[in-house]
Amino acid sequence: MKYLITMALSLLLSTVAMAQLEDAQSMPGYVDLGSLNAIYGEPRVMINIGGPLMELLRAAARNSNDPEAAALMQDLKGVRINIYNTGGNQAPALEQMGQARAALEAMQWQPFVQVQEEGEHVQMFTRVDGEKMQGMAIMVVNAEEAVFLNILGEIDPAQVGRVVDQLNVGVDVNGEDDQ
Amino acid sequence: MDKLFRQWTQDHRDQAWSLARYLLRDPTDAEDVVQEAFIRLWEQREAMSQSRVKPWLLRVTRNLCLDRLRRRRPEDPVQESHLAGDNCPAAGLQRGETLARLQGAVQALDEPFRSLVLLRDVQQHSYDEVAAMTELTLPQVKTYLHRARRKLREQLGDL
Amino acid sequence: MTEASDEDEEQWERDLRNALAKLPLEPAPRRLRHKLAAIPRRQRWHWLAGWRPAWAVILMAIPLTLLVVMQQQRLDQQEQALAQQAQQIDDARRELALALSYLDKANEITERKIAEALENGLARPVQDNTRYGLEKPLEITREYQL
Repeated sequence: MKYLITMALSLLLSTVAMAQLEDAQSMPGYVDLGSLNAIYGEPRVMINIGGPLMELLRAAARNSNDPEAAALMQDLKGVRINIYNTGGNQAPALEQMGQARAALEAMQWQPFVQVQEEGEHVQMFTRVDGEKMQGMAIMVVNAEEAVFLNILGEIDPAQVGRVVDQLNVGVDVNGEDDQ
Repeated sequence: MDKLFRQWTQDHRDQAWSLARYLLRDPTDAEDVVQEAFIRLWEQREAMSQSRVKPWLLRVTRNLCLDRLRRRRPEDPVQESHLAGDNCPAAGLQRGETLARLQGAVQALDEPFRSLVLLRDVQQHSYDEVAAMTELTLPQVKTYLHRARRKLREQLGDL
Repeated sequence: MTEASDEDEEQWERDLRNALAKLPLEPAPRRLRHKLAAIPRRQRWHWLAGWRPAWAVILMAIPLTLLVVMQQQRLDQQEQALAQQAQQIDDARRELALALSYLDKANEITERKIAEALENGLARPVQDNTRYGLEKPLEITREYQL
């Protein structure tokens, strides 16, 4: 089964991302999942949204015609993602994932999804303060790509699809459009 | 054009001044009126010709004087100063008195008699010029002049 | 008698006119002469004074015009900034959607795997009592053992 997750978009690194990175580092939901640039080169996708830009998006969502989806975004503070092309060489990515997992556990992040199969590896951690989610760390490694995703703030994973719809952007992650 | 205007000023200022002094008596008022008349001449200089200047200028001067007289309220003080001629060096006492009587009699005439006497008999302008200056017809000028002289005779008796 | 009267009258008129003709013409005083001589010089600049209201309008119009131009420039800059911000938001929306779609995808993978494992008997459900502050509790357990 093919879990190719490919995108046709090429994204620019915005200068705002650097400032937002500094803001994000101070937040409890932030985690550095490491870098694989030395192994795989520059990430195919690199996204960093937080701070004022995230606030703008939340405000836009509030003004949208889907108040429920807007409410789902209200506690979302930021999103950071690196996606590498592994080109069949998963081992370095898996090693990185293992190191990240150890670090997350040491920082008392809670694992809530772990899928370890030959073709697919998924790790999902969350950091909770009392009953409030402060962040999520999601790592997905397969033969094609390695995904390292850090969500700051709170979002219901089950409702993510609705949020994506609210953002009203055509995003295809099922690999139907190859780059 | 400047030179021409200066020439016109030299040629006609005394007559304009004399006319204004007789009509208004007050020298300050007369000065203002003459200055205004020449300013208007300056403004009209491009359209002016040598033959038109004198009648035009004296007509404007007279009209300005009459405007001022109309605006003058009866109670306004008039700085009357004697007209020239009273101190004429060649005049004897009798001649001085005659001059004064004559000047006084002319000044006491109503308009347009006063202007007509001044322009025709004192300043010696032609009848046509006088008609242009007073905006009367030639027959009117002659008729009114005749009446003016009779009034003077009534006032003065024997000179 | 009448003729004599007429003659007398004519004579009188002639005498009067002679006397009037001899009335001295008062020359224009010096002050007036100076004023008249200055007319060409003064009147050349006089037209400017006549335009005083127009000058006032022009002088007021210049700063007003500058103000309007500056205001328009400010508005243009604001419009440009807004357009840039709108573009930034659009870009951010795409990026956020992309990032969240991976979370969604990870969810799908997980759910599929769990369903497969449960179907194959390779896994048993483990009660997951952890609450993460979500509005709805997770319906499918997130931990399984192979």
